[in-house]
Amino acid sequence: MGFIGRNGAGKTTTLKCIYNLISPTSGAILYRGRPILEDEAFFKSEIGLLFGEIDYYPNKTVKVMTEVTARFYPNWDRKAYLEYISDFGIVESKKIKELSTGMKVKYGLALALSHGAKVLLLDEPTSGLDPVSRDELLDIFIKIVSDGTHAILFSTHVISDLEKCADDITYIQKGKILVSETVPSFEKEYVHFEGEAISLTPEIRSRLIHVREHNGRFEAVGTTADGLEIPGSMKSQASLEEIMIALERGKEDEKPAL
Amino acid sequence: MKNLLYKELKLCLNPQIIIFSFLSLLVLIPSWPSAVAFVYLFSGISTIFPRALADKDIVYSAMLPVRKADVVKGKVLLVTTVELFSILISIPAAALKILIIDPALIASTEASDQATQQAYLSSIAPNFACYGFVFIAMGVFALVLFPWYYRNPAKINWPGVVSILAGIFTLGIGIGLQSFITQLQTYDAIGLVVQLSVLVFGLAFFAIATIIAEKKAEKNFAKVDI
Repeated sequence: MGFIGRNGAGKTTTLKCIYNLISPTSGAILYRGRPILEDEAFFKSEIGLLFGEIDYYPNKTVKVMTEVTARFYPNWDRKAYLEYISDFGIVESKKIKELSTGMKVKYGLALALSHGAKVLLLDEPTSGLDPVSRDELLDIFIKIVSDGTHAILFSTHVISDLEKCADDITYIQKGKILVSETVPSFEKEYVHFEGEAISLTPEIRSRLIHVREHNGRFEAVGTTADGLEIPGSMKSQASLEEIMIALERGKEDEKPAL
Repeated sequence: MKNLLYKELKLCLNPQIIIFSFLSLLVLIPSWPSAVAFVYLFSGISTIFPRALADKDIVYSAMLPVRKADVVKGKVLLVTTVELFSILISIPAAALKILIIDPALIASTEASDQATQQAYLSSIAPNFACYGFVFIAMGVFALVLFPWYYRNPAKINWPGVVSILAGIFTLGIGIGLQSFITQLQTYDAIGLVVQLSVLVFGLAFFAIATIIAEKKAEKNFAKVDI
């Protein structure tokens, strides 16, 4: 599941609340119907959390960090761990600071997967990665969830990541869930228009969520349910990125111009 | 708890702390107030926190399958272990000083000055009372350091400095009491009872103070956003 929203929408805060790194001001966090704080240690072993890359204890080696970390997990699977680090090309004798950004993310994943986490919460795992490493990582995500026993919730600003590998998305705005559903059904709710700006009447404008005009042409996003047709324009399914921008910036359009 | 301590010893123990904890062997220095040997331990311990901060230890620890409060517990365990280790290795040295070095010093002094020399050496000896005061000082150190530091773990300066000063001040009072109160220096029946009472009180104070400090620190840390 992709977890999206603007900077400051509350994505990282949500993930930190789940892990009791910060205390929520209101509400409760349940995992399989039980409050997380009922048995914090157990839930933390069931749920893996990774904030981007691993960046603690930069002067310790991978081997030492793994040895210390593994002790905390009764279900630690050493065989699986060795397979993961071999697949990811991680050298155990290297210090954490000597790993590349991509390797640090992969090392974090290897740790989380080897301790038997069924749910992985990843905060912007692909930020800071080059396009090839990002693509590799998305393939790893797909492989992890393909066995049907693992789930991944990852936050990202790179919308194309979601299109490549997310089944569902949860979209939050100012700390509140705006939408949480499958990617195709979310996309089907919005349409994208492109055409000559002259065809935009005030009535049409009021029915669109967001309009962008440039050099006499326009691009706009509206809802499918509205059934709007704009003469002389091209109508297509809106992409996730177009929808997100429209939903965020549409609010700005409603504000009075300064 | 075993895993927490292992993690602390493996990741957070730096060479400085080990060197500082061995400085308790300075109780061997002849004609020197023995309790001063433990002053260095406070400074050594306070190096744990800035290093842990640079290594993002709190984030790492809080993401392990432990309670948030265990992040505090780990550090209290480490500090207590270092303190007890430092005290433990100093005990043979203290025995050596009291049983061999001090008598040798007295014997080598002119006969007319031997009584004065003995009185002076007893007033600064690493005896049971001295260890009692060391334990009390460590309890005070913990009470100041942990609850204050875990209110805002990003800042160690003031909790670090004030806890070291509080520890040293308490030790200073102990050194003063030992030099003025004869019963804290002698090994006759009354002297032993008084000295052992100070030691037992010191141990109990250390244990209770450490537990209270940990609980208060855990409570303060629960409100901290990591």
